[in-house]
Amino acid sequence: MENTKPKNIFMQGAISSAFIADSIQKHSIKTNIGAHSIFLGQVRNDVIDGKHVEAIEYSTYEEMALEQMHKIREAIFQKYQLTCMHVYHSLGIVKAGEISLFVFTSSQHRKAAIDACEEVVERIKKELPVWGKELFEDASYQWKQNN
Amino acid sequence: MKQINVLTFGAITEITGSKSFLMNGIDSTQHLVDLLEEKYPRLKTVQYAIAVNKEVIQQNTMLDNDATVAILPPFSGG
Repeated sequence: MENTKPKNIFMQGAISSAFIADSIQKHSIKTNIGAHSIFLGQVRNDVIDGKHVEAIEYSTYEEMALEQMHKIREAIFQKYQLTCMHVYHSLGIVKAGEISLFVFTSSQHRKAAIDACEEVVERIKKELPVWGKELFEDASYQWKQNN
Repeated sequence: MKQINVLTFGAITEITGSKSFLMNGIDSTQHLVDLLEEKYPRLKTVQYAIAVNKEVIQQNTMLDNDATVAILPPFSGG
């Protein structure tokens, strides 16, 4: 089942669709699963003061983020009947249109997977020390703000 | 003498100019904030949270020798 020591969730650059497909495929051997819920965060080409966001550069306080993610993981497993849960977050530059967050929860029945997935995404955005720097086409930037 | 490690991130690093530095003779987080805001007045104009040894604190906290204090701008992951 779950590890007791913090797992790394960070990967350099965008999360590829091949990686996501492979993660789904790996669950075909877990035949007690009846439902998967997946959230994919994609870098949006926002226009701010007339300038397009070309990419987001992510950075983190890694040790704290992994400890915090471990606490979130434990709380989620306490609260929901999950079979498994996987979280990946990009670091470094992720271009508009690419995936920077992948949350994948699985359970026997759909409700636990769906509710857990949503709660994990909300908690990641609120509680993980990760910062996005929005890089514009003219090489200027601003620090992203989560709503 | 008591020494603490200070870490900064994102927009805060742009104000302090350094991602990590040591400070001596700091008793508490409020003491640290007062000194940093005096040295870097722009800190007073931005939002940040403080973590002591990787735990976000809500109120003034006494600091042990070798504590790590992180100055965290608002999170924007995902």
